[in-house]
Amino acid sequence: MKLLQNSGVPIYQQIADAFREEIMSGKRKSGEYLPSIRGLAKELRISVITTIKAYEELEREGLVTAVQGKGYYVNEQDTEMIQEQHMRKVEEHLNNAITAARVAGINNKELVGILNILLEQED
Amino acid sequence: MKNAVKLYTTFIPTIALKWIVYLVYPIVLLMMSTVFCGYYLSCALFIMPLIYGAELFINILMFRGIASDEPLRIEYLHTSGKGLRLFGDALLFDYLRRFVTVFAIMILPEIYDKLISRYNIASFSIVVDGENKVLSPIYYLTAALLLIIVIEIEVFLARKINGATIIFLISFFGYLVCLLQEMMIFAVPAKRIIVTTVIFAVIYLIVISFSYNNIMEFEERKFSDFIGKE
Amino acid sequence: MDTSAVIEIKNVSKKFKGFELSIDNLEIPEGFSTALIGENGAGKSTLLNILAGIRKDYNGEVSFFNQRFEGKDIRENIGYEGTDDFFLPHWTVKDIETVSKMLFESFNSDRYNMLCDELNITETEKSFSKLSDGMKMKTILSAVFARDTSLLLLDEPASPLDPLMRDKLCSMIRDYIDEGNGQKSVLFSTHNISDMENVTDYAVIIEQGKVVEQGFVEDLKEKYVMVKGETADESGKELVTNTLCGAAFSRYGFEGLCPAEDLDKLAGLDIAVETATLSQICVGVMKKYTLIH
Repeated sequence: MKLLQNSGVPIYQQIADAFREEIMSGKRKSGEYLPSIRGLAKELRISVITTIKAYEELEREGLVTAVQGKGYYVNEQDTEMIQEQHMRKVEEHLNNAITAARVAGINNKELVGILNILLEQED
Repeated sequence: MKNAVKLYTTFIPTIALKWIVYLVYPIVLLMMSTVFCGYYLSCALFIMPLIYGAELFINILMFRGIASDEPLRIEYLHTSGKGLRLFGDALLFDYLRRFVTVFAIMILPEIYDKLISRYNIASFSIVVDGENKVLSPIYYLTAALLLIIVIEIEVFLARKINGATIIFLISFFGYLVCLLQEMMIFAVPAKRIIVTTVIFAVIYLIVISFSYNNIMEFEERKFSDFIGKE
Repeated sequence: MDTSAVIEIKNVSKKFKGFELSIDNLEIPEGFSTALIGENGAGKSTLLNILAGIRKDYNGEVSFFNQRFEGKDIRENIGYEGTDDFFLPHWTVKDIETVSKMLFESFNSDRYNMLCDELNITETEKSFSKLSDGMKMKTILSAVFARDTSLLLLDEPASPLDPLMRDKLCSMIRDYIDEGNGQKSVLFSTHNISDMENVTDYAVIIEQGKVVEQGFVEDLKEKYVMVKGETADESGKELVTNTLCGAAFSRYGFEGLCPAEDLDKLAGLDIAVETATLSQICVGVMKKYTLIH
């Protein structure tokens, strides 16, 4: 984990991003406990409150669950849910494209055409 | 208590001085007292002021001004629940050490002498009004008590007052009292000497209990009534 | 976040000549490292003296560890480091070991000697008073960390230390908190927060003997933001001065700490906003209260 002090991204955010990546990619299995907040703070040489904030963010996103006295464990990341999240992301981007098309006066048929061309280019 | 003695010993600044306080000074003075033993006059003129000076010096080394208005502070002791009691026990040990040392120097040679009868009884005498007056050895006990009372008062004052001049003046006064002891004691007739001894013993106990309580009370309040660093 | 208090301070006050420490209600969270920040003379040392049980003549109540150690002497569990007259001036490192063993049950001689070694305390035969300020502090810290405690009260521990040693101190505090797993806490005072920022979880800012701001650092960073702006006209300047805590003006513009909720008051001015460091938050808050009081 490379924590950058002056990147404009808060440290807790960087930590949360790093762990999110590990969870989503399967590096951290469901049921596995994340490092203790104080142990992590000690290893990363930061204050405990920062690690807590990072974990709380992950908890808010539904990626981990806090257990009193034991720590934070990784939630069941069923592939369905991950797929759903990815789907949502695709939807979001496509909606952006639709909006941009509206502004530019491009109709639906033309829009689908552009999508096909791009997909062909990929292959 | 063993810990009290350990703490007390840490109050003596150097290793050399630790040897001197516990061993060298008592033994040297004991040897001198043995030489002069039987001659009360010499004892009063010479040994007693030396004991007096040594005890004063030791006290100034270790506890000078500890209960004065600019006192010696040892915050560390106050951070522990045991600190104050340990300090109190160390103080008590100080009284004990002083008592034992003074009495050993003053009395032991006399007892030893009496046991081996090195001198004949006449040497315990002095000349008063042209007559040989035989002194019972108990006069040494009385003298030792009077000496230690004066020392304790002086020690207490040196702990309450931090000024060098005052200490000097008081110690000079104390020295004179030492010299005057012979007259005071000789003036006591033989049949009254025991009563006098008992009275002195009581005064001694009163002086040390007052002194101990005063210093301990002060130590408890030490970080209270002073305007803090901030 | 659920936190219990390791220290509860209620209605504590102590009057001095020209100064009064007055704290209505302060709770120090357990399992974290708290910084007591304030100007010199703000009351930090006095408060720590009261908490350490050294100063007993105060009004109010202080309780520790949620009554967990009821009946036992809690000072056995509290490690205090002070700045003046801590040891007898002629004590050596060895004397301190001897005395510490007698005063505290959990004092570990081996650990003490190991720490002295680790912290490079070289002159072990020298009188304490003859050591440099940095050495003195290292010695006191060794004595304190050599014990098994649940709370550390440190009065300006970083002040006499060089940057390398300050870093080491931060590590030692983090290790201590980690060891305790939520049961060990540290309260330290400082007037140089930037060096201790990465070991501070909770901050308490004291000004003129009163707590003027407190909170978990991440919460404070949401409560306040740093505002930097271009030069404004007179009415703009006035607005800025009243909204920001301790606004500083120069011919190139202004900058200062702004409560996040007041940001929209500055709408219309040409400003940039960024996260404040704990140091900036402290300076801003302290400036505000120094002016008014």
